[in-house]
Order: sequence, then C-alpha cells, then structure tokens
Amino acid sequence: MTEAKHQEFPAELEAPFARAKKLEWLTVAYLLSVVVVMYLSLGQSQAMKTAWADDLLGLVAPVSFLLTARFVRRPANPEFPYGYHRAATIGYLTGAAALLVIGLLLLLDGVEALVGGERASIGMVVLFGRPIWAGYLMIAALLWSTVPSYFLGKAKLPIAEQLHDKVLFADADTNRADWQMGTATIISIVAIGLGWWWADGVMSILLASSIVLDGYKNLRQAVFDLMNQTPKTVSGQENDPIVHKLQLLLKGLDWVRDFKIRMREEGHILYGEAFVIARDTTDLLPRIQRATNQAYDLDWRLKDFVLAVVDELPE
Amino acid sequence: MKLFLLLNSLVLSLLGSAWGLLAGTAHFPKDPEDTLQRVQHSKVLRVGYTHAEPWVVPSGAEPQGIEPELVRAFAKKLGARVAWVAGTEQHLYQALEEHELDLLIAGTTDESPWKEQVGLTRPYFETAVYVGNAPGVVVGVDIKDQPVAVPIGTDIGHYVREEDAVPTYHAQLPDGAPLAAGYAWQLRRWGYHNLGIRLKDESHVMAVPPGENAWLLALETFLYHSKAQVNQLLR
Repeated sequence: MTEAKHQEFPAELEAPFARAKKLEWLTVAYLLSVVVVMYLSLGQSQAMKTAWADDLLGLVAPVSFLLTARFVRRPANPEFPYGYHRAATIGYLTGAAALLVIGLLLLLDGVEALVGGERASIGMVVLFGRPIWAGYLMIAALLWSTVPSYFLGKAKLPIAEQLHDKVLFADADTNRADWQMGTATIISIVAIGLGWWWADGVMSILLASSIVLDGYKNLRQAVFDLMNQTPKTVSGQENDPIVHKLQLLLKGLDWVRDFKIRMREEGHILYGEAFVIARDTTDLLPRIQRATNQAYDLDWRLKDFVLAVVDELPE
Repeated sequence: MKLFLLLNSLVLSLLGSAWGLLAGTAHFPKDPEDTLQRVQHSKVLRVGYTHAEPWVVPSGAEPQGIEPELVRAFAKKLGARVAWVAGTEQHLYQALEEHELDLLIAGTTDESPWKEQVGLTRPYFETAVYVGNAPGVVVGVDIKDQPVAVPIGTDIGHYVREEDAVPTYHAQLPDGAPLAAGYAWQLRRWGYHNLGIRLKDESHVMAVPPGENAWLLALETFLYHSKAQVNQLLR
C-alpha cells in the first residue's frame, strides 16, 4: 500500500461533519449580514472600525473550512500519495496570518487615534422617520454581531472536538468570545456619548490586541502543524493521547523488545511509524499485520501507520 | 482571554453606571468640551465662513446665501447671536479643530479633505450638477464637441470634458450661453431646461469641532427639520 487510505471520516462522523458544514454556511451568511449592518452604522469610532474589521476577518475561518472541506476528501493519488489532508492546515495558516497582520494594523490605528487625540464624531441618523443619535444604532448593530455569534460558537465547539478540526475549533472559539468584543465596543460607544473621547482609542487598542494575540496563537499552531509537531489536542494545549495509547499497545506485545514512535498530523488525521526491535522473529509478518490492525482500531484518525522492524532504533 | 474576562467585568460595571447616568440626565450624548452648553449660556455662536458661491456669498458685515441663512435660523433657535469670522479655509478648519470656532460653512461637501480632523454633519442637502440649455436653444441628441459654460475656478470643466463637450469659463453664469452647467435648482432659476446630463453629485454638509457630539446632534437635528426651508431658499 503506497497511497494512504482516502476516506476522511468514519461513518459515524459523517453526520457531525455535515452539521459542521451547515453551521459554517450559516456563519458565513450571518457574518456577511453583520458586516453589512455594521458598515451601514459605521461612524468615526475607532473601536467600531476595529470591531467591524474583526467581523470581516471572522469570515476567513468558515470560508477556509468550507473550501478545504472540498479538498481534504479527495483520494490520494500517485501525484499526492499522502492525500489532500493538509489542505485544512494550509487554510488554517492563511487565516491565522491574515488575523495577525490585520490585528497589527488595527493596533497601530488605535495607538495613532489615542496618541493623536482623535475624537470620534457621532451624529444623527434617521430611523423610521425619527432622528436619533447614531450611537444607538451602532449599539443595536453590535448586539446583532454578538448574541447570535455566541450561540453559533457554542454549537460548533463540540463538533470541532469530535472531528478533531482545528480550523473549526479556532472559529468556534472566536465566535464564542465575540460577545467580549461586542461588549467592549458598546462600552466605547457609550463612553463617547458620555464625553470620554479617549475611551474609544483605549478600547480599540484592547480589541486589536486581542486580535493580534489570537492571530499569533493560531499562526504558531498552524506553523507547528506544518512542521510535523507531535500530535496535539484540538485546543492545542496538550499532547494527543493517541501517542501514549500506541506506546501501551507496543509495550504489551511480547515479541517487541524496544521501539520508537514518530507521529504527525495531517489536518484531521494522523500519520506515523513505529520502529521496532524484535525479541523474537518467528511469524514476523502476521505479527506485524496484527499489531498494525490493533493500532488502526485505537482511533479513526490513525490512517497510515507503518510498523518497521529494524536492527537499531533511529536517533 | 483571562485579561478579557477581567476587562469585561470592569466594563459591565461601567456600563451599569453609564446607564444610571443616562437615566438621571437628559444630556446624552455629551460634548467633551461642552460646546452646546457654552453657546446656550454665552449666547454667542462663533461661525467661520469662506466665499463659496452659491452656498456662502460674502456681503458686507454678514454673509448671504443658503448656509448663512440656515446658520442664522439655528442661532435664533438656540437664542444666540452669530459672531461671523471670515477667513481662509485652512485657517478656519485649524481653528475649528482646536475648538476656537463652533461652526464652519464653506459650501463643504462630504468629500471634504478635513473630514478626519473635524466633525461633519450628515448631508443637509443633496444635489447634482447638470447641463441645461437656454430657452429657445435647440440641442441635438448629445452635447459632444459643444461648448458648455462652466464657472471658472471649479472642477466642473473636468466633468464637462468627460462628456466629450468643451467647457467655456465664465465668472458669472449663465452669461447667455446656449449650454451651461449648474445645479438643478440653478438651472430652474435661470430658466434653463435641464437636459438630464448629470455631471457630478454633491452632498452638502457643515463642519463642527471634532467629537462634540451633543453639538453635532443638535445641529443635525435642526438641519433635518429645516429641509423645507432649504428647498424654499433654493427656489
């Protein structure tokens, strides 16, 4: 077998995957509506501009999820013998880089606004034939950008864990935390209304900092994934338990004297090899076959596991 | 994230006190520099103006035209008198930016290069420049290669060239020209027939000091309710 098994998800995860796609389509539609509504109410407030840019950036994750969802399932072929799984990681890298760069630009804007003593002018809008202060309309737009977002994020989070999808996870996490963004922006509009013009710059700096931090965290993770870091959990905090499980499996085999495992992530799934020094070389072929099958049974994400018998373990 | 949670509890308590403040006073939004209150108490409205016909026409001690008329009506509503200051646009905008003036009129549109430095009202009047023909003048299907009278020292000539017509420059319009460019209401005033060839859109605004939101809101509300007056002034 030279080409990796091609199916991305086991049968029982097809339904969550379909649901994730549905949620991401919903997110794209929702974010587009937010971007339009916010743009229409956008005034001179720097915090509001930052929040708007953040919502626009929020499109990157769902769009890259939906785009890569079309690629990752393509079967491996002689040209791409490991399949297309890494498409997901490339999408993740692109989104994270965009987040970081735009976050930095917004941070610069915020500092400039505060240091330059820029005062946001927010005037009047006519709503249903009645003139009102535009700040109220902005607050309404911001509420639309926060409340549904929170629930979308909550719905996506468990699916991201199930599918082991880091793009979906990052997206869900951002959505879930959006209420903080929105609240901070609402505060800055209210502060402008109270005559505290500096609060706008301060808030926009805080908002931009959180975008930068998010971008940095995600970019780091994406780069690490592309550099074949040992598998990590979806939230990126811990080592994936799969490596430990494989170690236990190999330790339990009486014909194995010593071994070394090397694993990497390709998007949703895991590739890797185990170098094994055999204590007993009788019936080696069926033993290897059995051990490999046991490994595949450990986790659906393990798609290509090579067990190589060697004289000496690699460094 | 933890930082953000901390910030949020802070921010929520702030929001609470802000709403409390709101409930207690009717003054929302507020001016950081109290422009509205100052004008109401001192009864003086400091207005900078520049020559910008037909919007602002200097004449003796007080300028005439649509914008000065509106400003006078606004001052009257506030119970203040207008202290007029003539000057160059740059100096006046710099004074406005530093709160040395309360209001600036200069035939300004929403494309003003000063819009980042000061507060602009929403458009109080939207209009467009059209080409019109003098009564009795027969015009072909289009104005290609035809002379069109434009006011000297404006960008209208450029838009006339874009229509493949030839601008001729005049200090005073319509100057008896067979074809002339002007705002729709000007063409009506001159008795010209509007050919419907739209050269340029303009959204007219006034300028106030930056971030004076109660002041801005008061002016915008006044202008919003003065729409009928604007149309009457342009008749």
